[in-house]
Amino acid sequence: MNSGYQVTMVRKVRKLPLPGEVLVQPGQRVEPETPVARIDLRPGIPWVLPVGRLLGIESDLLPAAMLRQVGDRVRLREVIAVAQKGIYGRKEYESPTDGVIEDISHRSGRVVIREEFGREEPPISFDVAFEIGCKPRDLPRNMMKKVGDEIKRGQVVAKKGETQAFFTKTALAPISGVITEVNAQTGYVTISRPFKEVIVRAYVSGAVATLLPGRGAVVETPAARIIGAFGVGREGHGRLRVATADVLEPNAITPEDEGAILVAGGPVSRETLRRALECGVRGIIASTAGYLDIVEALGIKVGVGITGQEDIPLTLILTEGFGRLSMRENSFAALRGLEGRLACVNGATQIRAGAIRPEVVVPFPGWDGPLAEETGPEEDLALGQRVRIISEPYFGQMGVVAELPRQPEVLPTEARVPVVVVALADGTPARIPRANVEVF
Amino acid sequence: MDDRQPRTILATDVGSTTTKALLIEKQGEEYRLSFRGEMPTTVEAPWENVMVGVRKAIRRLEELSGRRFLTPEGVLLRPRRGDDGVDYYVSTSSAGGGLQMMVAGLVSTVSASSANRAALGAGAVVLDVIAVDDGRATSEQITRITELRPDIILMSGGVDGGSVTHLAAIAETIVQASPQPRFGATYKLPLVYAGNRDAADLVEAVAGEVMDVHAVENLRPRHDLENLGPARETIHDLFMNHVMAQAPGYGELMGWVDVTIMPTPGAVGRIIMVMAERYRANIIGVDIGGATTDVFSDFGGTFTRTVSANLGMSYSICNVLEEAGFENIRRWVPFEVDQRTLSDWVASKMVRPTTLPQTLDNLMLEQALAREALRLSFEHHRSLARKVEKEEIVAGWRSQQKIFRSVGEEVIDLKRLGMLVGSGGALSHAPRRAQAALMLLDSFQPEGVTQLAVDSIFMMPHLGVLSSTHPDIAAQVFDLDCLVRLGTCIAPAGRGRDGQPAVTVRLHPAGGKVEDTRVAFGELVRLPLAVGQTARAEILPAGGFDVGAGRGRPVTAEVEGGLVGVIVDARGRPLELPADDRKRRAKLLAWMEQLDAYPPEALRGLKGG
Repeated sequence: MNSGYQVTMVRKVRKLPLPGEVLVQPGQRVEPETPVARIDLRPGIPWVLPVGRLLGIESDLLPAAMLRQVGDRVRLREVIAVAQKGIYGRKEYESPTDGVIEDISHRSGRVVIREEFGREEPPISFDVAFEIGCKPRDLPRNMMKKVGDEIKRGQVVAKKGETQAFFTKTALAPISGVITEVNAQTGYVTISRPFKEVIVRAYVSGAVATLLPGRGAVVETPAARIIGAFGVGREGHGRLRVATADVLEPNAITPEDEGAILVAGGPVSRETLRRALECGVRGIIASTAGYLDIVEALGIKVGVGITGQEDIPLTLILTEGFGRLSMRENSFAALRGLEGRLACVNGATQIRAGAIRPEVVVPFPGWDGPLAEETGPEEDLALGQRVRIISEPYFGQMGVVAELPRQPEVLPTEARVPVVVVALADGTPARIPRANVEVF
Repeated sequence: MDDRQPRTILATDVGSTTTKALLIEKQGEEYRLSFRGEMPTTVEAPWENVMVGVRKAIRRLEELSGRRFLTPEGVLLRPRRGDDGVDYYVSTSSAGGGLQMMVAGLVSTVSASSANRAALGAGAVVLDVIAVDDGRATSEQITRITELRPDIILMSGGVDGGSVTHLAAIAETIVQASPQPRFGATYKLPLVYAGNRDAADLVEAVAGEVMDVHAVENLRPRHDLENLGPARETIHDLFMNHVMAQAPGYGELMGWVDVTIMPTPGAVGRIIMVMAERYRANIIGVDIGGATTDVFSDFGGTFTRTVSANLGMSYSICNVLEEAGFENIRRWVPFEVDQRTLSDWVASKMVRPTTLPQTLDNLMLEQALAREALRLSFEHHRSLARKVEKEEIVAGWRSQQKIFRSVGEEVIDLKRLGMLVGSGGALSHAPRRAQAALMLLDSFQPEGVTQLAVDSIFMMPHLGVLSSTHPDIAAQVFDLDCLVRLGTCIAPAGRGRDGQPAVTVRLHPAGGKVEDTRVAFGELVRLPLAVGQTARAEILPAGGFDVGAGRGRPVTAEVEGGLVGVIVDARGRPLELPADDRKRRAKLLAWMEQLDAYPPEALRGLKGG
């Protein structure tokens, strides 16, 4: 033990969801931002083309009519199939897109071409309101597709004037992609390429211990690790600053805290969370917060108890959970001892089987002192142990295990359960269900 | 039952958090539950082998019974020798996220909806339903199928002898998406084809090379017929032989069992079906868990299962609050509670799912949330439990596509509901049985005459899988040890003014005194009738009320007793609570008092406050 924290060997599995490219070597030193592995997800939009029908031939004749085969790369307007009927009956089919032929079906007469996107292609915005001759504010109701929809080159994005078909004006998509914005102020529509690159970064500073072929690597580092009860927000890192041992007030956060990880020994309020977002704070480690405050200040849902993927710039880690409790002394002492160091935080919480709890990892890359064994958070109750009660009517109170009765006892709710007798701070004994105390 | 019947049966359910082992034995002429052991499931790291948990749970049975069921090396002792060892072993499993499926059909309200029901009925989590008319372009469907990583795909569509073109197109769409199985890439993804039998060869030809195609009987052989059984059976087999076989330790478990391992919810559905047939009654079963709530119903032979994936009492309890809304929770609480306190309490329960309510206030809050979780799950169930749709085909003049319109008939008719069975901690472990009865009444609002029961210790999965080979033994244990009979509810449907006569019940207990009970609108009355006792009940509803035979028409029914007895619920259907807070709390307290659902001194305290 030194200044409240223990250094253990922390190993982090950094892994892609699907096989991809690994970018590091064994033994390589990495920083939190170092890419470990990458993969391109959704390799473009598939075009399903009824080529047989468009050429006017039977489906089973399609393979013979194809000029290009499965796996071939084709260009826009390239003739990919030809049907010959008599001398004048020549029909050609031009590819409506650049891409790779994935399938040619002799049953349905369909051809599938997977359109490919380059990584650098930018999104395109164009003035759709002007093209269809409507006011920008009327654009949303003239749209044929909504934000998030896939669209292909040449498809109608918006049209105006359905009743007088002759005067109908349409705007066509200049590229394939996903509609990402419909702007009612400017009348512009933005189409982005659905190219999605997933990069797994090292998350902690340390060294690559082992490679996971095609998937990623295990990064290890001597580090101090503190586990929370509940968190929201993604992986991130910043300098650790202990802002207060008590309730974190909004005015305790300044613009200098941009990118920092703030620690509070007490609860955090709705106003404080808003202030932290304004100042660009990267993370907050506090004892507790109100459920409604989190939901409203951060604009997220935590309904099913699985978090960590929220699109918020702040990661919040609550060491004790919800309501109003102070942080357990050893966690606070550890964080205080780590002040000024680089802290890596992850709000991911999953309370179901194989529980994931949020964590703070403070790496010590050059550590040559002794390494402690990481102890599990769950311990069996024993006489004399310090515990905290985590349910009404003693919620948040601390005490010492005074007795462990063998027989289950009847609670005020009339349920019969195993109990523990806890001597509270003022010496009064309290009989508590064993499930409702935490070793402190 | 003959001599070849096993005397000692071991059953395990490998759940997502705990593995539960039961010992069922022949005692005299009856089969009874004799011991039960529970241990954490070990499918995840650090063990990554289910057998560790299974052996621990069996060892726990050994401790409790003082007998031996495993050899020192941990092998199941079989056959039985004297008191040691077992004759028969069965198991269910929902570990590792259970069974995840994608279903596809032609028309979303017809074949795709049948396929959805078949998959749900087999105990699956349905990831997505793909249909020709689901509003997505083929390219979008392909993208979506590629994203999903199902364990099994179920495809249906067409009546036998109908057109095959569209089916080939769907099969092609699936193949073009090249979906990958969830566990490993070492095996071909199973595709169960349960559509027009004439298209079976075609589907095999299209998909056979890249997928493991299993053709079974059509889910909809005719427009007006639904046949979900064969597909369900095939899904169960595939689940075991392909999906579970990939999970660590299951290979060994599969070697131990005497009958194929079933997905837990599939087994629960099976026992509900078996019991509906035996009791010749319509049954609704509900299992409210920590993460999900499953509702099963068997109405006139139509079996339906639905899963409300995010309604539960611990992990997803915050979602119950979000979906139901604060006001809906609060209405069941007989004391003042503000939104901040309630939401923090709910969130704390989510973060520490194992905590127990210690005060009566907390117990009442928990039960208020359970009512809403049950109500929402049942609403979801009713919307899906529909009889086979009638189709109308309307051909549009502009398009060549046929537009299908379909009308489904709701299957659930609460007046014909014979038995309502609750399961899961909130119902099975409620300190007083009257609390479970009240929760079931408030959330399901049965009408007419309905028997109420709870599952004592969650043994429906074990009995479900056992019923596939030994239905008599399963039924006997279900009746004697699994079901805790709460009693019978008599609820006239209709509305009136408080205090206005609603119903008169005349009970003729076997060998007892005949008694008339008049119940006014807005009242809840409990009449004692013990477990095992039955009585003939003459029920005379007042003018505007219906107990199953029509408004004001009398009904005579045989009612079963139970731990709560006969409950006459004249609070009206639909049940409405007073808008005024003070009146609402007074009503809730009066009902709780009438059912003796909580300690009387505590209720008096709440009344005073």
